[in-house]
Amino acid sequence: MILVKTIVREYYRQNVAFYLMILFFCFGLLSGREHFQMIQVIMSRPSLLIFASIAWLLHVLKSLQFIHFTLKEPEYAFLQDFTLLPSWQQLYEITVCMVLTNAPFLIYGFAMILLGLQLGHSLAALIVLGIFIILLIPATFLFRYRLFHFHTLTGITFQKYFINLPEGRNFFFLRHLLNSKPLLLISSKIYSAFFIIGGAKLFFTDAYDFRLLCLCLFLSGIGLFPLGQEMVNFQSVKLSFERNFPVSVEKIFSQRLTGATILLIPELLLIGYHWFDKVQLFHIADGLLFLVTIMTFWSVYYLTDVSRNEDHIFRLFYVAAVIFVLIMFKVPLLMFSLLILLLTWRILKKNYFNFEPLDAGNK
Amino acid sequence: MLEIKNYRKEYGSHLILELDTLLIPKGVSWFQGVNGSGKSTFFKSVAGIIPFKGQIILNDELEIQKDPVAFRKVVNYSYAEPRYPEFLSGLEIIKYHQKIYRSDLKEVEELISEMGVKSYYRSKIGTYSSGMLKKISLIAAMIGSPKLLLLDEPLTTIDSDSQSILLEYLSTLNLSILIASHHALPVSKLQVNHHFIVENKTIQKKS
Repeated sequence: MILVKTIVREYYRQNVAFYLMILFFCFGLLSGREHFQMIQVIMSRPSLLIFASIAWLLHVLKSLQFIHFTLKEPEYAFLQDFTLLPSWQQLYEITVCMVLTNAPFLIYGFAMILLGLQLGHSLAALIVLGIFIILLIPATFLFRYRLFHFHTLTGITFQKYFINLPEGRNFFFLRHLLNSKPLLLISSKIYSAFFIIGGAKLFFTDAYDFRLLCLCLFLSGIGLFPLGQEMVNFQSVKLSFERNFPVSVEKIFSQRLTGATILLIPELLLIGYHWFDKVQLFHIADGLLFLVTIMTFWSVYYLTDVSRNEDHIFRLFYVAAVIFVLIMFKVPLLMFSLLILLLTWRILKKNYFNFEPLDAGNK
Repeated sequence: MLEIKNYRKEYGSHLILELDTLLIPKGVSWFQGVNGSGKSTFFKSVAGIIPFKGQIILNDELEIQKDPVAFRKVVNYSYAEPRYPEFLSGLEIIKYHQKIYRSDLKEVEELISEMGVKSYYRSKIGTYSSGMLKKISLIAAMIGSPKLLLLDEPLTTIDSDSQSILLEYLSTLNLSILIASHHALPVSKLQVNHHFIVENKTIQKKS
């Protein structure tokens, strides 16, 4: 099972924190009973399955994107010989690989099917099963096609579809995302836009005043976590030569802040456009700073040893819950921004020169 | 020139290299060792790329932990297997180094033209062979005003003409050079002054 040992293991190694975060927030914000109720509602109204399908489609695309770009790496070049295996074995291994990389949503989906059958919603259960087949069979064949065109497809990138970005260091990460992880970039933008625009639309029907903006930005900020994780992956693997550079921590700090600001330009514009007539300018400026600050924090968070510890991620959940409560008590985001900036600085100062790059043991 | 004290490097619980003391004099030093002996780990430690326990002191004045920026300013490193973002061009990598070290390209112009890098360095790195990439990495390591140059397997993957050009160029430099290599260096103007053996999780001076 070479694909499991290479692709699947690497996929979860790179995404473990992402899934833990999703797990803690999904099952932290909603109890098991609430999930049960939500599934009950969805299964009784199959049209709602469209939303679940979109999320599952994005997940399948995420796994395919990972496979495509992983196969471009020189250390995976030996997998080109995979096509020499008997066809049945190829198909079996590819199918297992696709099922395992998509296991998080498949498990949730199968729980939906079981509950649907128990509650007598056989049609909805059948539709969920159909969605799985529709999503996974083409994905399996696309993966096989990728393996059969190992070298001819390696040139596929997405950067050429975008405008030419400036060449400076501050744009490296954005160029990397456009080049290798466009889905991650696009999905994070959709996620942020959902809260920023959705909150603005709800504003006049809500009694939360400026706190609604704060909550929307708080949730958007949490969604930036995978981008921060990817930034550290990128720097560890493709920019490790920078660690030999004579660059001070102050310079790295300002570089991270600038990089975060560039990355968040669409969000910052959206906030300005949708909220300028709803809350005071101070709160907008406060929100912009908060978003930039939290992105900067995520970009250094992985430099700490404790960040790879499950318990620590769990503690983060409690910190998030406290921030949530304090926002409700009208504590301004500026206070959190300053605290997060201080913490970011401290992490960088303490860990930048002592951080073990993620692939240091490989070579 | 370079002094190592109580050095220890582990990955998890796996000991890679341990040194009580090691003195590396000025000049050209060759570090010989089989695959996995710890040559690259040692070089990366000296370059500040990976953390370690112990002290590394350059010219009795600069210690890597205490003066991380000043130390890195005078110690340059070239990877055995360099990796760069594939969307950058070789020229962008060279210019990036030039910007960091506030240097003009005069010091490496000769290498750029003689090693045949000009013919491809405007293309994206994703299209390079390993030898083409290695040349970019070697040139980038020469930028600035290093006092110590660490070259990890510098001759692997590059053609024999480029090897000769590189060795001849290195012989003209007035700085200390550490070279990690499985094999003895080919006969050239570059004279190896010191020979170290990396084995059994330690480093010993042979000559």
